[in-house]
Amino acid sequence: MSEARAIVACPECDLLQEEAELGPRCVAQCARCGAQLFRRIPGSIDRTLAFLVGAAIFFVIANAFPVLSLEAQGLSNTATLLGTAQALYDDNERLVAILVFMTTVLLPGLEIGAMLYLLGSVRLGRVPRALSFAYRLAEAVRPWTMMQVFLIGVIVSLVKLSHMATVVAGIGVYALAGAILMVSAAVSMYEPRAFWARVRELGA
Amino acid sequence: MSATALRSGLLLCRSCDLLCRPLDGGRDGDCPRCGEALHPRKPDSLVRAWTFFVLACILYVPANTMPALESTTLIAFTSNTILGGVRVFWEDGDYLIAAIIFAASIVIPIAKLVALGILLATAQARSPWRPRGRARLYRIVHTVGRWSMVDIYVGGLLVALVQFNTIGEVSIGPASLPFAAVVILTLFCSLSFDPRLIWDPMDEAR
Repeated sequence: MSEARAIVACPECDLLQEEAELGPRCVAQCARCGAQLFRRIPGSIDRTLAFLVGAAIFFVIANAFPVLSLEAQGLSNTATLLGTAQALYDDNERLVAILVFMTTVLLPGLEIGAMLYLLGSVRLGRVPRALSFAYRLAEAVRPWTMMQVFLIGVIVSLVKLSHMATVVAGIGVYALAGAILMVSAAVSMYEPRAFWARVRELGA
Repeated sequence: MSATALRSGLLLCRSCDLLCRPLDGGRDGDCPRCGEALHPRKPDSLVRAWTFFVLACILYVPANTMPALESTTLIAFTSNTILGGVRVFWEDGDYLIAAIIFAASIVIPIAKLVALGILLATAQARSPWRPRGRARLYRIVHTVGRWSMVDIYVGGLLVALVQFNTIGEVSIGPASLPFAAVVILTLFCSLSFDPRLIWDPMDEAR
């Protein structure tokens, strides 16, 4: 089994085409269907890694602090990311609770963790031991991370409850916004080809 | 005639995009770089996608007719469907929020089901109709799908925040499970659908 080089296949329409020479920050698109084939991002690994470190820090803070708290009659209730799933679980909506936990906590955490591990390893000059597992994990998990959708949910809840009680946005929600920005920045800097080229240099 | 990976006997890894040759003896094997199982097309793409699509369509009905949120305050018990929830925001004067929830919970799921139906039916019929447009439609469906989850998150946050020691109690209604299921099933549907099926009939015809 060997790989064919200098020819790429479009992942969305299967057309074989010759690889174009790209200038920095340029995107190669499929000649037939317009799908993005690859990009050239100078310093892709270092930049992605920098944003991932930021994302990991924000993600931990977002999980440790309340996103919203409600105050009425001298009492207050707070909601954290995990607490939202917990509340649904206690309300006997266990499947929905598990889904909320997975899309807002578990899978985003796995994505950030797997990418940190992969890019951090090659940055330190090592081929990650669980290379193929971690790579496929990050790819498989990506469509299922919904932190950004949860943030809109927080804003909607804040407006809805503000008619009835005093609602305060907690540290968690700012950290969540930070984590979302950092992950998007990391993904926009991430180019799998650069990663695999580095792995090859390291002699996988 | 276009040269495609399929016609050239090559396999593209769907995880790391490496173009591979099949193993000796014609077996597809695994990607030598990342270990993903290789297939010329996603296996049983249309059958799987149709299954998820039909299930999503069925569950769409209870998701919209059953109560999504039930709240008890000291003075009243109210129960709202998803559309009813949008109306409450609108009547409270929160027009932007009403619009966001309407778009995320009503427009996106319907548009997504219609789009998936079009993609599946035209691929099944091997239609040559506007392939570039359908390819773009597939990309849009794939991107916007997750935004329908907003309503589920709002429900969870309200349940967590509103408890009887403060202003009343909120409970999630029976619509939330089918609603969440529709979001998940349509995501599975778009992940199962292989966009290369849009182009295959044209590559084989000429």
